[in-house]
Amino acid sequence: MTDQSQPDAVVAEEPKPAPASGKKGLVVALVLVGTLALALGALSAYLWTVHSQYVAQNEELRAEAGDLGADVAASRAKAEELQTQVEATLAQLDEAKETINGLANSEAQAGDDRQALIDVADGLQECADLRQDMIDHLNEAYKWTASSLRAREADITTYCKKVTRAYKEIVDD
Amino acid sequence: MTSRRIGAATLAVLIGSTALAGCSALPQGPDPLPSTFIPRVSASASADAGLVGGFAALERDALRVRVRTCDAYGTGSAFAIDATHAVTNAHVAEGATDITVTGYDGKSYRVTSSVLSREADLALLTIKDEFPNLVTLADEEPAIGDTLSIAGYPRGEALKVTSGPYFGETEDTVGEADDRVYQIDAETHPGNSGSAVANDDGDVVGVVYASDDVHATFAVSLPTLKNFLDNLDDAKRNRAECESQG
Repeated sequence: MTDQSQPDAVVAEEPKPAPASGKKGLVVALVLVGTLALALGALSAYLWTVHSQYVAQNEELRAEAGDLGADVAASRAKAEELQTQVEATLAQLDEAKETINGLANSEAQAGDDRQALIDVADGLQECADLRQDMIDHLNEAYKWTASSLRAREADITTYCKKVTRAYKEIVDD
Repeated sequence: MTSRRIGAATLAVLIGSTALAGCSALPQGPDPLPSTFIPRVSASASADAGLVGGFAALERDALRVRVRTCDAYGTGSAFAIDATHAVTNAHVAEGATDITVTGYDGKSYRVTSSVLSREADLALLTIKDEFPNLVTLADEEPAIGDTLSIAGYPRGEALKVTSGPYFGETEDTVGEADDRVYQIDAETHPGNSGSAVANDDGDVVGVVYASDDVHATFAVSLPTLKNFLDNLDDAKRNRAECESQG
């Protein structure tokens, strides 16, 4: 009979060494994590640099926009001022033009009148000469027939009336 | 073991590829700013650039004509085509014993001789001095609907510019030529005879010679004017023979 109460002898097993593949996996994982951390660090640095560049340029653009806005405002104010001056000058120019036009017209009308008066004066002088000639004829009336003297007088009278009428027209105008 | 290595290598490749692919999607830095944001613009010519003393070219070209005949006075308009010659109507100059033309500024010029067209209502005046303002004849006739401008001295009074559309042609009812003349919807009066008719460019396309005093002005056409100027040898001298009273 065997004592069944006694346990069977247990053969103690020696601890197994950690498998090599597990260590390597850990190393690989650590390397990967490290690499990833480095990559993320580099990416962050890059993004920070780009961000800084944009921020700097944004500030530069804002300053430029401010300057341009000030220039535009100054230019608009100057343009409005000049526009006002141009309008005033054009109004003066219109006025001056009207004055020149009016003066030129007055001069032309005066020239017309002067020419007419000169012609009337010439006509009146001619009339006087003709009448003096008539007087001379009458002083020597024996040389002429009465009918020729009457005809001559009628011609001179007609002419002188025409000149006188022209003179009156000028004066009435 | 081998399968794990393969898995790790694959993972590394995937991470590497993803990282490389991601680089292309990364934002780039800003482009450098341009040296200036202000575009270069050139000033446009003002519509009033042709004004001298407030007078447009067509106004400066207009001449007032004063004519004395044996027994009357008359006025008309004219325009200078070169330094010593001006064009007006034959009916303005015909029978003149004395002709004086005056510019927009009041300066006067004594006409020394004149010739008349045998066919159209045109005359050419010659002066001793020199005209300062000359017109340019257009290269082409106006088209129906074109707005034409007329500068002259209606009723012998102040210089006036009027304009209106060129609306048609008709037969010349005044001259002796079998010719067509322009009809313009513009108000002119006696005294406007001889006025230049100008197109939008300010070039002369005709010469006013008649109107109905309301809104129809008749003008000698451009070909007729050019034909007259090209054949001045055919023109007749303008002479007045007055009866003497003596």
